[in-house]
Amino acid sequence: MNCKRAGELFAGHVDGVLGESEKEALKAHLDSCRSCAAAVEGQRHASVLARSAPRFAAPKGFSTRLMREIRELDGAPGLFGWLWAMPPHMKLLEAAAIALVVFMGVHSVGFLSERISGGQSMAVNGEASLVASMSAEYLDPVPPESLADMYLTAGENGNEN
Amino acid sequence: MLQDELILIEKARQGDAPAFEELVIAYQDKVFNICRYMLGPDDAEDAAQDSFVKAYKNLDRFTPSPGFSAWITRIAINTCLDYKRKPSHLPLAGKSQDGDEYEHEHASPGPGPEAMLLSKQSAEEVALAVGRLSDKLRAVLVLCDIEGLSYTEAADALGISMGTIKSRLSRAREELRRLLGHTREHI
Repeated sequence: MNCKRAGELFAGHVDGVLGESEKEALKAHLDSCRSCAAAVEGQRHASVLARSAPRFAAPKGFSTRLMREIRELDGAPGLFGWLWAMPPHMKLLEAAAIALVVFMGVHSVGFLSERISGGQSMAVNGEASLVASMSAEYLDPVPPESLADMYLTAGENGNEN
Repeated sequence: MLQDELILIEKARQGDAPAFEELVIAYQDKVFNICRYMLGPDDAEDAAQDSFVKAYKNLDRFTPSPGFSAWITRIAINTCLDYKRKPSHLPLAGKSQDGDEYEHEHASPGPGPEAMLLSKQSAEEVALAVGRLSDKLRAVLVLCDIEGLSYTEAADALGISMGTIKSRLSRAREELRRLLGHTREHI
């Protein structure tokens, strides 16, 4: 093994990842080459130094800021963003609640319709009913025998005084 | 590749943002650390954020074989190289390190008693020296020695051969030793 080939194995030797044959060949070379032996020791020292380098942690709030950006990318509406951020089981509950509200609304409308149609049939029979009381035909803005009725009657006859 | 990660990735693919957030929390320090060493303090956070956004947008392209760790590392390295190509990007060397916060933890196993003796000041010197390496050498050194990736993982992340990883790592360590020797001679 020459020095060039040995140099290619220095990193693997320092990190202990050489195969048996490479390890033996390099060892034989290092025993006879003081220059390469010194270079390997330098590599070992540098490796220790590099591993002592600090690891920088992500700044506080990193994930919060990132997820805000990602939710904006997804096009979720800002005001109701929390709805889209819900886990799937909560979304199912949310859908069930909306379905329940819609069902109750439809049911209430059906109930009212029934009451109205029932009221009309009663009106035909001359009985007081919900529709009768709500109908404009039955609204009398000036009750008979009232002061206003007398005034209007006099006006129609040309005898306001 | 952790099974839990695969489940989280699958959920995230279906639009489950909280699942993706769990992945972010698990890898944010690793990605930020890589970006911090590759770009310096000014662009590190933006590059780390961009890396995760790219990952989120490309979740459909993710395949379990390299694993999420190698995948997000590759995205982070490529994002940093894109930042480097921007004309507005300033070189790392010469920038102030004041105010940086870092953890005194080491991803690589067994720093040994020699490393344990290094003071905080020495660690900062090493960080500065790593910042003075060329991009190619720094990327390999950061991934292998600081992040503790195997040669195979580093080769996958950088898209280069194992042989290139070994030779660049040797050169990076030689250069680091030279830079630190030079620094210490002047203290």
